[in-house]
Amino acid sequence: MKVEVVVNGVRHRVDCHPSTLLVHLLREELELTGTHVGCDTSSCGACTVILDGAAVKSCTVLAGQADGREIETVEGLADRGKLSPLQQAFADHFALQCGFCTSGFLMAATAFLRQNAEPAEPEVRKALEGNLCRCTGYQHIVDAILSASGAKERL
Amino acid sequence: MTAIGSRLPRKEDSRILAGRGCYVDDITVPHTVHASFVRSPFAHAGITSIDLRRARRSQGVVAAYSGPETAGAMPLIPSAAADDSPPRTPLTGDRVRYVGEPVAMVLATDPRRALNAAEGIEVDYQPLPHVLDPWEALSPGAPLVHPDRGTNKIGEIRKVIGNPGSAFAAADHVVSRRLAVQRISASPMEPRAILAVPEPASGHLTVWLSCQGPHTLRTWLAHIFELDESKLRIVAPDVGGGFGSKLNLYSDELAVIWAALELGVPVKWVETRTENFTAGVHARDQIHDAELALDAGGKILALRSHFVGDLGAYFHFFTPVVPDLTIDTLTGNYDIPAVDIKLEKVFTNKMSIEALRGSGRAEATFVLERMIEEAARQLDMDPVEIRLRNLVAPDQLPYQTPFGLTYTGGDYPALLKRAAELVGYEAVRARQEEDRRAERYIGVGFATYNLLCGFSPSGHDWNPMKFFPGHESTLIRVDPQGKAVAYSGLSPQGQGSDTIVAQIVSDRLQIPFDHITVTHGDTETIPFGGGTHGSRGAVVGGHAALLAAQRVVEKARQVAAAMLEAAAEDIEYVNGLFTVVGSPEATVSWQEVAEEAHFLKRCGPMFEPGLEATAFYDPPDVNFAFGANAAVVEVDTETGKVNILDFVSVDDYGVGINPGIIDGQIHGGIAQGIGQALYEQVSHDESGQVPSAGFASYLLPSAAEIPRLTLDNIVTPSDTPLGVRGVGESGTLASPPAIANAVADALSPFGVRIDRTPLRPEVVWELLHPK
Repeated sequence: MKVEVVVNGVRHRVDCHPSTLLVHLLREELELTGTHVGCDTSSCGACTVILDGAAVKSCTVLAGQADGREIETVEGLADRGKLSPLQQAFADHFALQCGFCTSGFLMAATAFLRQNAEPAEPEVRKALEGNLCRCTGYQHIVDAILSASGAKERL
Repeated sequence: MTAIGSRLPRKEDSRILAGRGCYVDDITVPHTVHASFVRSPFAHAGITSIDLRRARRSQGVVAAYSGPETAGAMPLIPSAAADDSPPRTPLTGDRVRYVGEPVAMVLATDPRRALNAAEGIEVDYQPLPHVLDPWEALSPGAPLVHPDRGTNKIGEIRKVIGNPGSAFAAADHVVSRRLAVQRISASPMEPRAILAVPEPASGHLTVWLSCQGPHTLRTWLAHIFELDESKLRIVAPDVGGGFGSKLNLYSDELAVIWAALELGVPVKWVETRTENFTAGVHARDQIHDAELALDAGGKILALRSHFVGDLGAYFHFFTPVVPDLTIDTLTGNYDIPAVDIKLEKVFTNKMSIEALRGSGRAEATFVLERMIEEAARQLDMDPVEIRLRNLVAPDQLPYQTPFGLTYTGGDYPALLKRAAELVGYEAVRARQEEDRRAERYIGVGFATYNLLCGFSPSGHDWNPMKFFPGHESTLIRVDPQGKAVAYSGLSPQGQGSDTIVAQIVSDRLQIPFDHITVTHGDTETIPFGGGTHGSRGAVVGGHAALLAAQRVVEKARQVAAAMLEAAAEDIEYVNGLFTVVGSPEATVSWQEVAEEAHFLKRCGPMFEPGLEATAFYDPPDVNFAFGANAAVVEVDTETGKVNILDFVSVDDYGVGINPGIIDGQIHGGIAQGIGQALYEQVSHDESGQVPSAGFASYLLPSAAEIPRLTLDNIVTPSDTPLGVRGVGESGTLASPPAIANAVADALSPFGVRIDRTPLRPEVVWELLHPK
């Protein structure tokens, strides 16, 4: 089937099997390998992307369901090499270790902060329930998100 | 300001943050075929037939193999830790011994096609009686995991030191408990992944592998497949967590390599999470019958623990020695003069036990700290007071444990007192009393730890493994501009060792942190390295970087001396300038020396060109880090849910190289410990199935379950040039018992016993509502 998506501002027309998942469309067809697959039960959130403004797990969305829609992935966060305020906050706060879950957290938190610009810590932790990290114990991730909250620049 | 000790940003981050990390699954090579496995649904069964015909006819299928069909063609897989390893092959032969064991493999042009074809393979099994309980496995008449061995018992170790018999006879109090540490999973966020790329014409093979130490695995692969090590290249690119689970060579990974060699084409396999929970190694799983003998004042006279280690069905890399580590660390930081320890190791029909962050020592810490807590309760003593009475005091150092470990530094009582102070111990006690009147149950728990780490000096008793070096390597190569690349033998999975190596090199070469690039994880470019595990990054790898940097500076000093027409011993190197002592105007800069070292315009043939050095560092001894944790919890007696209200960790990791990285290591370790204490469990049902084979049932904690952690530290430099101690595993040791002790404290009015973890709501509820 033919699928047309706008990913990080670029329009793509892709021919794919109807059973193709969005995460595979992104990783294999568009070579956007920053989005990761960490489980097969939609639990870990490593594949989180933003679909028409909402954070979704791209392993639970069929490529066909994304037809005609806009997708943001981790590769679209930086502006010509300049990290977004949230990405920079992750670096400043040591919010990543192995980095495998990081893109999922960045996308979930980016969507969250757009909805809730100045959240309290419990709201941040609640918002991250769908994303698992095994390395950091979450504290530095939460710190990074809190410090990026209220940022005037584009998230 | 020195780079060491500074919170410098990680060199690893910007690439990963931009989505440009490179994990094995991100690598594509033309003409790759993809593997999928058929795995045993039985804990124990004979295989009567496997029908591959349908799979071979499926669209895109290149080949399909079964264990019985490839018997004799596929190699036997040895263990690094024992010569009497039960036979294991990449695909099992005529018998399966755990749920998840690889039985057959399909190779297809696309991963989905491989999976579809694998689903079409029909295997006829003849179910056999299985054994899951280690005590049952040890009893006469139990089903045998390996019938030719005649027993499920792998071995027994007994250590009786001092005079425990008379200590128990003379004791005023004896505390006895059966304590269990459950089976858990490392659960790195990146599942295992491998891409094996053969070059049949030249006989070369490149293996991209999500692993923790490519050099040792290269030696093992060459050994197993009888290949020239020189033609074998292993690359560990970005690795999404390991925690000990990626030190192995797994059956399925070896099947992939075998297929790549057999077919002469690249083969890729990426594990699913379900597979990771069944066919990825497990950890812990010990049951201790422990006893403490104490005098009337609460001084511990002796510790006895007779325990069983359930190792699963096969030996992986370290399997048979993992529980051995528990024995010699069972006295922790405490002055316990007599011990009687017995370990029985046993096969069961489960996946193998392996190293996992804190392995062996986490089990010991749980048992010891739970026992001391129970002793405090039995003797009606304060839990901090009883610990202070028994901790090795600074004036007892150097202190030799009954097991022969020598502690040389640290103030263990001070760490505990600081933790008590930071958690507001007295205030918590006062609040606890008030809350109880309102039928609200909070509790406070303590635990201390001693992390034996920096694994492990070559040839040392702690390093019995074959093809497993204790040393670490670094090659530092300076370019004509004076900037450096450090090739580190460490193979990190998120520990940030590129950054700490750069900090060490920056200080020694006296060049900016930004002028240093660190690379790792490729046997083609990196000197032989031990890899990253066992809290050894800074302790062992850091010193290799230090030594290499010192050698580079010595070479540079020689070049500078020639340039300045002075003797090398008269040259001092300060702030990036080589100066003749006593002639401050006679200087050359680091950059000038680096350029001259390459082009020899002034020195001519006086020197071998270039400015580089390789160093290997083999530590003279193991290293220790120590600390104390305090936890405050509230238990909802209606639901059994445990909420952590406060958690404090006071650690002594010696000299800290990068506080941001260190705090992250401790946070992550504690989060794993909280998972072990409250949530995580690899469970087997009666048939040996693994119902916990997914995050939703295994219960990996999320940000909502992990509280804000309070960290503090005390610095006692270690007896090493850098003064560092290990830190990677620190958080995993004391956190489970601190939380279990806090739950026991909260529930003390109910007279319940906390003898096992995880303390999930249903477990706590059942303790409160006995049938």
